[in-house]
Amino acid sequence: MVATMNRTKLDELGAAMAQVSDARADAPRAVHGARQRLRESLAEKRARRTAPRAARWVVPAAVVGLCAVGGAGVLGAAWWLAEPKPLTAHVESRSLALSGDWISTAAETKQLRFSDGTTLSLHPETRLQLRETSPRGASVVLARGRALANVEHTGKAEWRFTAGPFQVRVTGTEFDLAWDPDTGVFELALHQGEVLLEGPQVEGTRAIRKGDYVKIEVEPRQTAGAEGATRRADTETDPAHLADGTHDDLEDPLQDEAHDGADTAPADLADEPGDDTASAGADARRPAPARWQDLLESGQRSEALRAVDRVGPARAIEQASARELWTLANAARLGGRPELARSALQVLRSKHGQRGQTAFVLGKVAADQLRARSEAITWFETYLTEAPRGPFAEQALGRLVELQAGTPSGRRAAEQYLERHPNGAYAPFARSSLR
Amino acid sequence: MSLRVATARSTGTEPESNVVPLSVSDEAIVRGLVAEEQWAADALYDRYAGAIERMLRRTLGRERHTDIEDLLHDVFLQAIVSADKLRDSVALLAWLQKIAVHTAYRAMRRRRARSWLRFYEPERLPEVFVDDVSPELREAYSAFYDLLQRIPASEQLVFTLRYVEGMELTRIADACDVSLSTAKRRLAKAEARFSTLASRDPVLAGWIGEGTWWPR
Repeated sequence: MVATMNRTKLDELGAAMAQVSDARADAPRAVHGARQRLRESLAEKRARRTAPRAARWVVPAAVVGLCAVGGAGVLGAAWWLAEPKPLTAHVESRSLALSGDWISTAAETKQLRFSDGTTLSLHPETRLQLRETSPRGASVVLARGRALANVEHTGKAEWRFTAGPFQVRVTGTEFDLAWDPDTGVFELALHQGEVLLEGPQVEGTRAIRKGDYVKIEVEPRQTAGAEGATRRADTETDPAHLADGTHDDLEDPLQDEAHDGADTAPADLADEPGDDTASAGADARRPAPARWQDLLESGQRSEALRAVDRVGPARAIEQASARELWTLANAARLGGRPELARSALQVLRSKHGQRGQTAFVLGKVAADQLRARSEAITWFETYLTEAPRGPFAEQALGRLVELQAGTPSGRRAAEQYLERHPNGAYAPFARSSLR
Repeated sequence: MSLRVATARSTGTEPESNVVPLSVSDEAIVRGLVAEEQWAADALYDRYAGAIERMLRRTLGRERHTDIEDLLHDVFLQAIVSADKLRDSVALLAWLQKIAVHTAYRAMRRRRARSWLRFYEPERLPEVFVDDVSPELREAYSAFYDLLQRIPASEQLVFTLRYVEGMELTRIADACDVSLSTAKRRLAKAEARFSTLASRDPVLAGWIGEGTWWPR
C-alpha cells in the first residue's frame, strides 16, 4: 500500500528538518576545523610531491631491479630511499608547529593526535613540550602533570619522554607518566608493551614491562618557583600581556601556549643535555626579534603574530600603514586571531577611511570566528550600503540570508538574493528558507 | 616562501600581491588552483565551504559514523587537487556539489556496510543546538533521519537534496551524475518508500497526514 500524502507536506517537513539541521551547534566548528586541516593536507601534498622526487626515480628503478634481481630487497631499498616526513600533530583540529610548542591544560583535558596514530592524553594541570619530531617519533618533555601515552607500534617507532631527571624510551606501548616538580615524584605505569627507563635511583637502563608500576621520589628542585618566576617576569615585561582589549590570546589557549613556548621554558629543563629552549637569561642574549611586517612578507604568519604580541597589538596597529594593516588583518583572520583582525580593520576604517571591503571582512570575522551574529549582520548590511555593487555584494547578501534565516528580514534578504543572483552559491538555501 | 595573496578585483585577471584574497572571480580561483596557489584554495573555501557544509549536513543528517568536518575536508581536498579537470569555471559551485554528493554517498554506503557490526555502533549522543528548537521538532528530526536510513542510499540522497536542501531536479541530476529521468525515478521511489514508512511512524505520521497521492 502506498501511503497518501502530498508534496506540499513533504516540502514543509523538509524545510522544518533544514531548520533543525541549521540550528546544530557543530556547523561553524566543522567549517573552521576543516579549513585548518585542508591547509595542512595541501601543504603535505605539495611537500610530498617535491620531497619524493628521488622516490619517483627509485620506484621505477626498483621495479626494473625487481625484474633483474628478483629480490624484494630492492623494493625495500626503494622504500628506505624515499625520505619519510616527520610526524605532525593536532590538538582539537589545530596543528602544532612541533618545534618547541608547549601544551598546557588547566581544569580540562586535551588529546594530541600524531600522524603515526600515537595519542597523548593530557590530564588537567599538565604542561608538556614537544621538543622535536622525526619520521619515527618525537621527543616529549613532561614538565608537570600526568599524561597517558599510547604510542603506535610501527616496528620503528622512536619516542623519548623526559619527566624531570627521568628518561623513558619507547618503541610502541601504552603507559601513564606523571611528574611533579614540586614534590619530586615520578610515576610510570605500563599498560602495554615495554619501555626503557633511565634516571636517578635507576641503575643504568631498566626495562619496565606491562603491569609494572614505578614510583620514584627524588629531591625536589626549586623548579616550580623558578618556572613561576620566569613566567611572572615575562608577564610583567611583555607588552603582549598588557590588557588592551585587542589581544585575543585569552580566547585561544593554543595560541597562548605557543607563545609561552617561544619565550619561556620551565627552569628545570634548561639544563637538560642538548636543551635548546631558552631561559629568561638566554632570552636577553638573543638578537633583536624580526619585525612582524617582515615576517608576514616572508610568509611566517605565526611568527609574525607572535611578533605583534611582543610589540603589543595596539601599538602595532597604531604604527602600521594601511597596506600593513590589510596584511595584518588577513594574517590574523587566517591565523585564528579574529579580535586582532577586527581591531586592524576598524583602524583601517576609522583612521584610513577605508570603507566597503573592510565592512565585508569585519562581517566575515564576526560571523565565522567571533560567532557574533548581530555584529555580522550589521557589517554585511554596512557593506551593502557602502558598496551595493561591490565585488562582495553577492556574498554579503547571501550571508544575510543565512544569518537571518527564519525571520522577516531573512525572507526579504532571500527574495532580494534570488532576484539578483538566481544561480548564486546561496540560491538553494535562499529558496529553502522561503518555503 | 613568500606570502602570496590575491587581488580584490572580480575581473578574473591575474592575482596581484598584497591584497586580501576575498573577491577573486571563480575563473581566477580556478586558474589559481591549477597553478597551486594557496590563496586560491583559501578563496574557494571561504566562498563555498558554508554552502557545502550545509549540503552535507542536511543530506546526511544523523550519520553518527561520519564527521561532517572530515567530509568537508575531503570534498575540498579532492576539488583542489583535481582542479585541472574543471573546464568550466562558471560551474564551480555545481562541481563542488557534485563532489560533495559523491562524498556523502560514499559515507552513507560505508555506514550501511558496517551497520551489521552492532558493537561498532557508537552510543547515541545528544544533539547540541545553538538556537531554540522545540522538543517536537527535535523528535521529528531524529525520526526523519532514522527513517531515511531504511531506504537505499541513492534514493535518500535524491530525497534529501530535493526536500531538505531544496535543490531543483535538474541540478540534483547533475550533482548525482545521472540523467534527469533517473533522478525523477529515484525521487519517486524515495517518496513512495518514505511515505509508507512515515505513515507507520508515530512521530512522522502527524507530519504527513492524509492527502492524495500526486500524479507522476
